[in-house]
Amino acid sequence: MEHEQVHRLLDRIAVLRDPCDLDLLLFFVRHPRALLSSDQIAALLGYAVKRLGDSLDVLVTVDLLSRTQKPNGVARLYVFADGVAPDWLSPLVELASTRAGRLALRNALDDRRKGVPPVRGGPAGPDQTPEAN
Amino acid sequence: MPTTRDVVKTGIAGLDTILSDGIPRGNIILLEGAIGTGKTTFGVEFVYHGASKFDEPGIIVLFEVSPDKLIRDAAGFGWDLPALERDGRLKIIFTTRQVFAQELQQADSLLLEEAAKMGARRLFVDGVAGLVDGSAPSGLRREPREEFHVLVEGLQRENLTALLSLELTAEPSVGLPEESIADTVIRLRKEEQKRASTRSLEIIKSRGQNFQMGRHSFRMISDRGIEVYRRVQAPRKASRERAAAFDPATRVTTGVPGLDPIVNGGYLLGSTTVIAGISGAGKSVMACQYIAEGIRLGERSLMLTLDEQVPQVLRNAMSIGIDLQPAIDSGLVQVVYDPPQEIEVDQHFHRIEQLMAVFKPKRVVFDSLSTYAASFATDGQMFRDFFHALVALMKEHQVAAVYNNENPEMLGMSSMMGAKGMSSLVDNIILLNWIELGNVFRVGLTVAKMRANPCDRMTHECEVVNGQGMRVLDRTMLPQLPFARYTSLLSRAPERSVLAGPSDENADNRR
Repeated sequence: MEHEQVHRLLDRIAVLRDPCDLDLLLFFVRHPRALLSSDQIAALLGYAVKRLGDSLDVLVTVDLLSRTQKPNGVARLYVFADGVAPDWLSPLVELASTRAGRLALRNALDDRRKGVPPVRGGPAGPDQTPEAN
Repeated sequence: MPTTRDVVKTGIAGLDTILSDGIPRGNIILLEGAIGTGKTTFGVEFVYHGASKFDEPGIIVLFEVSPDKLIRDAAGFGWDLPALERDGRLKIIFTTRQVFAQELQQADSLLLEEAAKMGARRLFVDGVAGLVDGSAPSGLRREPREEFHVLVEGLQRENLTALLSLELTAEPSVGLPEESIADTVIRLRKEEQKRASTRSLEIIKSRGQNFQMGRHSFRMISDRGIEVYRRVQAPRKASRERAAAFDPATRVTTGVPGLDPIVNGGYLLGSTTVIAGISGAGKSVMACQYIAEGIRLGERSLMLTLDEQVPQVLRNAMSIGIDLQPAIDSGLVQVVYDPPQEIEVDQHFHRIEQLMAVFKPKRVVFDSLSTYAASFATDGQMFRDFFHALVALMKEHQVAAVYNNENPEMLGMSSMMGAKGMSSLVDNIILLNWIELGNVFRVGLTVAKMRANPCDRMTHECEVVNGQGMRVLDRTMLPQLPFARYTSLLSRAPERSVLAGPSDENADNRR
């Protein structure tokens, strides 16, 4: 049931392509206004800086995230969902609020990244750990 | 230079009074305390009230606490932070200490630009310990004092009233560098009292204003937030000091048949009366009758009890024919119970002050003074300070206050107020004693002191009749040998008077 629910939800969220996208989005749900460098965010989430930079770009591109930086600044001010939050955000956050739900989402995203077609009704795949820095 | 005092009200209940209305605008406030003392709640409430009550938008800067948890915890106090964010009156920014310290040193700081864009007047930074830039090359690192100074300079440029919380791992024996640089220093404490913990707040310093020194108690209350209670010893308004006397003309009748004639018609308005006696002698009965007399005369009356809960007081009153419930329902009487276990003196006194200010009673009964003394058992000075403050409060409101005081001695009394040494504060003292005559304990009432009034100091017999209450009997018209025929009634060994004649023998046979 959860597997089906995960894929139905992800079908609505074209923007998320990678587990890092998901973890970054969830980070900004908890910290909607963050003054940090991308290095610091990467350290907090346990991803490589390059991978995290790509996910930041994804969220910025779809206007879920805005970022401001001063020429001499070491950090950027990230503001998440400053306008209206998309309607899929609330069910996504709810699903990811449990460990099982979050892992199911991550695994489904991992499959997407690898081009594995979703198995409707099948079990969630094995646990995936964040990429090493 | 501004000529009028421009202060920032904290909005925290009770605190602005202690701060002489608020903190001078632009002051850098250091809020220090150990883990769990309430620093984050204090800081959030400071910013919340600014944005919601005083039209002063604010920014909260967090380093470790997740904003969603902060929002959740604030909701528990009834503070809707997301609503303020939506209205542009609040921004919660998550960052690191390193970034924050660097930001404040830059002229084009993103943080300060955000503050300027929203017109922020208040800033709360949760946890400034460790703001030293550890990433700087060792040769370029500054001393902690210098680092804090740089931080303060950055904040002062923006004319923000900034509250910076600092976690203490131990009570500092000497001033911290941050304390000398900050304009205002507030220290929060958790104090262990036997097995209980209470919170207190002390203003260590505050430039540009007067404030009330010492440790004031505070609580964090669900749906309300922080409430600060001025320490009971702190001076109140001058009118309270001036009112330390009683009205020499207006009498307040006691409600006990036979008692008014021997107290010159009643207690004077603004006077302090102590009824002292062993448990069971009739003190609480007298208290109920005093309140019932107030009801009869249409006078607002308050009973503050630590010994018995309200239903028990009502039931006891009913047993002597006094139904307090209709008077409570009509607002003429209030019976208030405060549990004596681990009583917190500042908070308790604050509650009494509020009752006096709002209810404005003419009669007040405290049942009992001895329970207060027992609650403050290890701190006699605290009890004396509390009683001093209570007497002054009652006199300010021109209340005829009656305090029951249990005397532990079963027969006779060697001291009117035990070891409390408070009798000089009391205007009237009435002693209730058991007197053993034959095989019966009878009750004797002696008016031992009536300040500025004549007082015969004779011992009168009393009786408590089921369904009727107490009455003071005539010394000569009794169904049994009257007290007048005895000597040494309070000596624990009373004797028949040698003047007893034949008629007295008849009287003796009536016993």
